Amino acid sequence: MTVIWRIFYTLAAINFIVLAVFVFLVTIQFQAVLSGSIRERLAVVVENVRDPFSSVTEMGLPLSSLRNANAMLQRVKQDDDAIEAIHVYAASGEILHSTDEAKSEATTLSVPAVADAPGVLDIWYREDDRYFRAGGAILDAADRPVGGVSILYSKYNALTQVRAVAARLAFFCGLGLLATLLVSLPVLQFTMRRHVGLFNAILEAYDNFERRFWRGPGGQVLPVKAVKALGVDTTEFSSLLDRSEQNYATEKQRLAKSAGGENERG
Amino acid sequence: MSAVDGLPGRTAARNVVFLAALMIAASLFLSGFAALKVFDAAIEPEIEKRANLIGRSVRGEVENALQIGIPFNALAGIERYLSQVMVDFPEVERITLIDMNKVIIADVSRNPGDAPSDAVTLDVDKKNGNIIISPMLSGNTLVGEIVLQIDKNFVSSKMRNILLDVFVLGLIAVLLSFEMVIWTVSNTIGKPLDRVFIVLNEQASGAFNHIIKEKAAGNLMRIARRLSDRAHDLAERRGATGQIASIHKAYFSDVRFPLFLYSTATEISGSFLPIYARNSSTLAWLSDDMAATAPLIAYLAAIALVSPFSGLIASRFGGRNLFLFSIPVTALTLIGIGLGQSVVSITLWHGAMALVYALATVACQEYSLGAASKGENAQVLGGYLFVILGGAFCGASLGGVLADRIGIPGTFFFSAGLATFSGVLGYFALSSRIDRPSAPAGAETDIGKVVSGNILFRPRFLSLLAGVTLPINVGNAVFIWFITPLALEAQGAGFADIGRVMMVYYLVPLIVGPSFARLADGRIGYAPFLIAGLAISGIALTSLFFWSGFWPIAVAVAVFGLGHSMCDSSQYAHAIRIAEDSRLRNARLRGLSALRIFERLAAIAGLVVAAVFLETVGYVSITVLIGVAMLVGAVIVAAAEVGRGARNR
Repeated sequence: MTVIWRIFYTLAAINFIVLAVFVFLVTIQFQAVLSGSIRERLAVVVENVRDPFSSVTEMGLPLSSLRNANAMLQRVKQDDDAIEAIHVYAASGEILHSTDEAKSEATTLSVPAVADAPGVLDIWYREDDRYFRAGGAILDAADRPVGGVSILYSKYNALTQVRAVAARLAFFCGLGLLATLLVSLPVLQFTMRRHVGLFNAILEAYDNFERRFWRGPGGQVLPVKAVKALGVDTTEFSSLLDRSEQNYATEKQRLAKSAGGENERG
Repeated sequence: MSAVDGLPGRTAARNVVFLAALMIAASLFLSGFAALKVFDAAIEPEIEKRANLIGRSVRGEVENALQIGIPFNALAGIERYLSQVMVDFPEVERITLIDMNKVIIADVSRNPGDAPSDAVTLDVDKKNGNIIISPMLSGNTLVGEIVLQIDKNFVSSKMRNILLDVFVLGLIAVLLSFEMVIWTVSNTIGKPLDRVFIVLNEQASGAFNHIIKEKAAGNLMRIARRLSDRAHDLAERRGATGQIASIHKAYFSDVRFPLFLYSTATEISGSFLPIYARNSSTLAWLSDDMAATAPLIAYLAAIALVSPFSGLIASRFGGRNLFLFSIPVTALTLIGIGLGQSVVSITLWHGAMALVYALATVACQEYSLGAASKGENAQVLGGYLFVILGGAFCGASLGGVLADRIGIPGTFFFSAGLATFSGVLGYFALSSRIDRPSAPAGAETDIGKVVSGNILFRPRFLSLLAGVTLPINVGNAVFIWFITPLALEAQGAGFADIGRVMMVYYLVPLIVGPSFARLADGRIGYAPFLIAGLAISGIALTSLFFWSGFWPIAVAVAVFGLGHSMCDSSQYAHAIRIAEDSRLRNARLRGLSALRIFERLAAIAGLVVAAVFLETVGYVSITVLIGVAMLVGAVIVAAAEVGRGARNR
């Protein structure tokens, strides 16, 4: 019956929206957790990278004087494929050591002026569509910033993970939706049985009325199935149908008579 | 036959909403379970990277010490260093350094009560997959291992924070399904049945003036066609085809869904408006607290301003016209709030929104009362409040989520779109003609001779205002809106916890309100319900004198919500009853208008007085005082009803 399908579509649509919002929320949450975790991890990497440089600058030596600095940076970079570049730069912003020998524009964009850093001892952290960027200042013995470390970390893997989570969740939620819909249809039919039964009984009573009408006097009169539900009685419905039909016939006759009378007078 | 509208629609919706709730709960449960698994699997590589990084960091530090000649078994301060690593990485459960002979050099655990690690337990743990081992070198010699025990559930436990949001989402979905199922069942079953029976009854009594549009008859189209054809035929025979008209009737279900969406749209800022206003404040002369409360006071003042006239305006223009007029203005004001760059413009736009909100909601209230059968006023008003509260609950919850994702201006633009959509639904659903069985004129003729006088000076009505409206509205504005957030914050609760406690206040009337309204309309009656509601709310608030803390406040909020929901719809129905009993001209209209304005004035006065005295007397004293006022209110209402009973005898 129409009402069951309409309710079913309504429930299916609401459930679909709920699950779509659920997938969205979980994906956003996963992205936030992953970003937070990468951020914490990058903070440790920045600390590990700047420690040897801090040892040098605290002794009053220039940043550029650390031997094998580039090799050390390369070693850190090799620990994680997602690290695109590590730079050590002077207070002027000039890159002194880097894993990116070409110092391409894409990687050097991660170098901020030391003055831009939110606090000299803080690890700063930025994020755009393609990269996580993290770094921190390197201080001398008087706690003045003499340069800094900057790490450029690709988002590619993280984005792939987020997309994979969204796709898997959508798949499982789709299965869940399908399963609950399959179960809910018979339950809905059971729940709506009184409503559907009442409608069917009214239509049956109406069919009986029409059958009586076209069979005319003398035809077999089928019994009206008495259904009382939701404040409606099919017996009362049948009796109202009969009474209204009689009134209709009477009114037609009256109008025909008055029309005949007028014709005769005319 | 208006019961036909209510009965099948409401019964079906009540039955189906359980199915909807089960279905949504089941699919969310299954999806939640799947999400935890997917989350765990997806976060695994990141956890490994973190663990490897920790291992490398610790190994680097230890190897540096070994390189400068410190023996492995004499590393001073190593445990302090390892403890710091555990602070930096909360997922690390234990770090153990062992030498080549499996002797433990250092062992730091998050649970100090754990038995010290030994080689055997480490071997067992390795098999569990939560152990990361890094070898340590001194020069080219292997000297030992670092063993890290990782709590893999730690990161994925952050996923559980979202489960409360999912719970709220499920509640929104259940409310939405409830309204949508009522809408569907009413249009498919209730209204077609009602229309067929109305025309059938008319024709059975000899009147053939109405037809039923085929689209309005649903599955009963065949019957409707025949009944309409009789009317058409007779009209043609009489030569009076212009005298037949489609059957028009107002139903409460017409207004439910549009009002639900409208309420959702206008309450979208419930969870962030004070913060939005405070952050937009650049005025030196206005304190942050005043800036935060300015839109709320403007809202209450605007509603108080328009309340005395809203009933009259709704009667003059009709519920449908007034509601439809309010829609574009509401959308405009919501956009205005979203664009608002200063606290002044936010306050003004919010005040303007409150003006049209008052008109729109009163229009819907009048429409609902017009559609109600006599003796069903409290049920219809209970249903009306259910829809308003349901919308408010959904708006506040949805607004918080949206504001986080798309920003506050975007949230207001979304709500403007939602308000417009509610108007489109209202345009198609609301009937331009209302059959008003309980309208003033009808009511007054039913009760006989109309007497002169003013309802506002009747002691029974005054006792309702002083005993019920005043304490309940002061309690709502002062205790729920003002004191609860401050008191909970003082107990160390975060915004999310405060939000959940407030959610309970809205949830209680949603769950029990409709049943209470039926009970009030039925055997129990309005006055005993009001007395009981006041007593329950009063006891809830005065109880805070004896106990305090987060949970006592949460319980008081829930119990206050219970008492409030007993009073909310009953006070309007009781006011109508008093008006009808008084036989005064325009008593119902005047009484309801007076009630509406008194509600807002009481709330404003309560807020101002509480704000002035909060610092000197403290929130407990104010709350207890309101509780006592409620208990006194219960006595006043009881005395008024006893006095009336004595006079009638």
